[in-house]
This record gives sequence, C-alpha cells and structure tokens, in this order.
Amino acid sequence: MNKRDSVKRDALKRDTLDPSAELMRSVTGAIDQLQITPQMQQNIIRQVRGKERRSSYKVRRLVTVAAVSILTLGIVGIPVGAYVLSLVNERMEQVPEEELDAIVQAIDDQEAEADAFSREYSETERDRMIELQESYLAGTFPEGVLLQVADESEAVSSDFYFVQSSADFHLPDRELTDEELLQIIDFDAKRTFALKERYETEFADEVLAQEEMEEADEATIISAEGIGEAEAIELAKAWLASILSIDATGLEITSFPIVYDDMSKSFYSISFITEGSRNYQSLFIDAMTGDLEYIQDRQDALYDDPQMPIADLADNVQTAYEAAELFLKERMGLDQEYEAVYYNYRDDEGTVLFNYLWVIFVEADGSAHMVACSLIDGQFAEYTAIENYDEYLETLDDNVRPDILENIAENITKIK
Amino acid sequence: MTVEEVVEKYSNILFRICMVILCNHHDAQDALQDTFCRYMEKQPVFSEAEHEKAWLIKVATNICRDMRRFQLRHPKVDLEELTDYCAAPAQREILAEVMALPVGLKTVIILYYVEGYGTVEIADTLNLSVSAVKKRLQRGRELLKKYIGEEEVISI
Repeated sequence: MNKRDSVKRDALKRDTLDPSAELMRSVTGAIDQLQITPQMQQNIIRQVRGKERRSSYKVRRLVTVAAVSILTLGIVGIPVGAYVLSLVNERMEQVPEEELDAIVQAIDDQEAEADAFSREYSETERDRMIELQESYLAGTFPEGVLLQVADESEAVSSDFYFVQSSADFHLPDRELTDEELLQIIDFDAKRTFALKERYETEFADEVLAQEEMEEADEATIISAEGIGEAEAIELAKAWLASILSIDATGLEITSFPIVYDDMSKSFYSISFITEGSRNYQSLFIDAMTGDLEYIQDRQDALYDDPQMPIADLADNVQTAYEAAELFLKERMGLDQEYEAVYYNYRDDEGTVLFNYLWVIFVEADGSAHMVACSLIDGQFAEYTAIENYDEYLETLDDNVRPDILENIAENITKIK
Repeated sequence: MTVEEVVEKYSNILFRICMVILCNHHDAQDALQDTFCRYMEKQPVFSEAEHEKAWLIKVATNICRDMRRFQLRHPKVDLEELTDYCAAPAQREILAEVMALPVGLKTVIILYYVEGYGTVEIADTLNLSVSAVKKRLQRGRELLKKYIGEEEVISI
C-alpha cells in the first residue's frame, strides 16, 4: 500500500466514529466508478499534440473579453460578455490591491457558483440599469459601495446588501435607487477587474508567451506573402461597413492571428466591441488573400430572448430562410441558383439554441455559404464562407465536440 | 515525460476530479486537454511524483473553476450519461448528488475521500486555510447526508 492509499484508508477509518462514515464510503465507491476511457485518453493525446496552442488561446481570450457581465441584469451565470472597461479602467486602477485581493478571496471562498437575487429586477429597474451602465462607463460612479456581509448570520440593518458566502444579492422590496444600481454595477466591475488582474498575475509568463507567439505568427504570415494585422483590420472595417452598415469608428478592436501548425490555414480574428452594451461583431479574415471567411453580429437580444421550443420551429423556418437568402443577395451580392440548400439548428434541451437557423447554400463547384438568422425575426447573426462543403463536413469530425456534432447531424434538413 | 506517459499516469485521477466539478465528460475532456497542454508547455521538473500530481491537480481545478465561472449556463448532471460509468442506479444517484454540491465543497470531498489527500495538502493545493478545508469537508458531509440520506446508502 502506498502512502496515498494509506492516508485514504486513514481518512475513512477516522470517520468510522462519525455517523456519516458509511455514507462517505458509499460516496467514495461511487466516485471511484468514474474511469476515463481509453478512447478519451487517445483523444486527449491527439488534441494535446496538435492543438495545444489553440487551447491556451481559448483560456486567455475567455478572460480578456469577459468584463462587466449581465449579472447586473439579474441573469444567473457569468457569460463571456463583450463589454469594454476602457473608461472604467482608470477607476479600477485606483482600487487598492488589498481590496482586489479581498474580492478574489471572497469569490474563491464562496460556495455558490453564480450570483443569486432575492427577487427579480422590475422592468423599470432593468431599463434604468442599462442606462446607468452607459453612464457608468462615461464616468458616473456611485458615491458609496455595496454593503457586503460574510454570510447570512451577520445581522444587517440595511435591506440592500450582498452575501459573500452564497453570492446572494438581497434587494429591497421597494424600487432600487440609481445609487444602488450604480453600486451593483461598480461591484461587478471590480470583481471582473480583480479576476482579470489575478489571471494576468498568475499566468504572466503565459500572457507574455502568447503575445510573443502572436508576433511570430504575424511574421510567419508576412514571410509567406500574406497580409499584416493592420491591413487585416482595415479590411475587416470595410467588410463591417459593407455587410452590416456599421462604422467602426469608436469601437474597441481586439485582434490576433491564428496559424495552423501545418501552415495549411492562417487568418486573423478581429472583433469590434461596442462600449456600454454587449453588442459585438467578429470577423475572420484570410491572412493570405484578405477574403472574408466569417462574420458574426452578436446583439443583446441573443441573451434576453427566450429560446423557441423545437415544436414551433417548422412555422418559422421560412422567415429565417428568406432572411438568409436576402442577406446573400443584398449584402454579399450573390444572386444565383444553388445545387443544394440545407438548414440546421441546435437542439438545446427541447428549444432552439439562440433561436438560430443555419442555412447552407451549396454551389455547383462544391463551395458553400452558411448563413445564420433568427427564427423570430430573421435578424442576421453569422455568415461563414465554406471552400468545399464536403470537406467542411469532414473537418467537423476533428474540430467539433462529438455531442455537438451529433446534434448537428440529427438536425440537418435538405430544402432543395 | 511524454504526452502519452503523463496522460497514462494521471488522466484517471484528473478525469474524476474534472468530471465531478464540471458534471459532463465533454467539458471534463476539455479541462484535461488544457491541463496536459499546460504541462507540456511548461515541462515542470519535480523532485517527487507527488509534487507533480499535486501540480496537475492544482492546474486542473483552476481550469475547471474558470470554465464554470464563465459558463453561460450551469452544467446539469445527466443521469443517463452516468450510466456509462456506474451500473448501479443507487451509485448514479449518489454521484449526481456529489456533482450537485457547490464546487468548493465537492473538490475538497473528492481530494480527501477519494484521492486520499490530508487537509494540509488540500489547503496547499487549493490555496485555502486548513480550517477552511475542514469547514468545507464538514459542510459537504452535512449536505450529502441531507440529500442522499441513509436509505440510499444502505441500498448499495
């Protein structure tokens, strides 16, 4: 028996005096059943060998784009929002290190994984919250700070406070004042900033290495006679204006190159983020040709609209299909007959994920255009240029999680 | 160590931890991939195998925590998925209840009871005080007792 097994045995032995010992033995036995499969081990080995760079991208980008979250709108869970803190950063820089440390420690210690609210925000509070978020980013800050207590047992005289252990916002029965709403916004901004600071401190070497890698990637692209990042950004601005009629002036821009390890593909990922909202547009620009590979228009409503039941899908397919066809004609200048047209959706527990219908228009030469539009109102969401549809389907096997792949395969329908 | 060696040696323990925290095998696989990627990038050198294991657990739990923190929706425990791992229905119920615990509690529970770590080691790995670890163990036990109850324990 090794040392670890001995400690484990002792842990259970110690608990023989505890009435919950039998229970914990059962728990141990149940968790022991979780064994990784050889196939998953092989998948991991393959992925670690081939995609280690992309996975670290994921973690870094996840943190750097997450900012003031929709927690402030009472939605449980912290999404990857696109909310810029540029104006707030100055304020955050003034927050003492001790306060930031305390914020992170409180998050680490809390037992809940997401915030909870003692009641829903009222409609007027939601509206004012949105307006105040804009004011906050423009420099209107609360005079005071949100009252925090360690746990429920701490007696408080106020009817408006935050419980750290349960991540619970106690809201008063009356309407929240502007000052109180600003305190919630400020509190959330500090938490986001503290987490980002912690990430950049803990993984400083990785952040630096990532920046160096991005510079090296751009150099690789240019040496292969591709375009530089600055040029790609200008192209992206032009696409943004021509396709979505959006002027990039004043928008926050984040960009980075991605080069496949085997050099088979290289592109720039460029995002335009609107301050004071969760709206953003992302584009992939082919690093060799400057062509648009992908454009996404993400709007606030995505998070707020309830997802449509699958049962209602059939009645709304036509709306999204016509919108997708119109997008290709009017925005992309593509007015032609297609060899085949498919549509697809993602089943999210009996509802349609994001209310999106993806319509795939396949040309005679095998290339395709995939357009996602809302089933509710036909609002454009995404466009993807596909070089060869059959090859694209094959690459999904390597790039898409098996459960998503299965979901896609189950829900693809041929229109013509 | 090569990728194959480190995956072979540690993937099972890390899988259990990630699976319990993230509640589904797809996310657990993603977390394991990121953990091993970080290991291969850094190639840390350790004087003892236990230190290496502790480093990997620390990285994996941090990755899981960040994944959960930024998830749009909270993961739900899929009892059907658990049939791939547990034949006995009672054990599946227990696993589901463990997975439903708050992250802070279930992480400590699995390290203490399943992986055999002491409270001091857990405190060091998770950057907690020893008293916080003990408190979490106690709270975790209380919740499990409340949710699972004696009946299911006996039925195993």
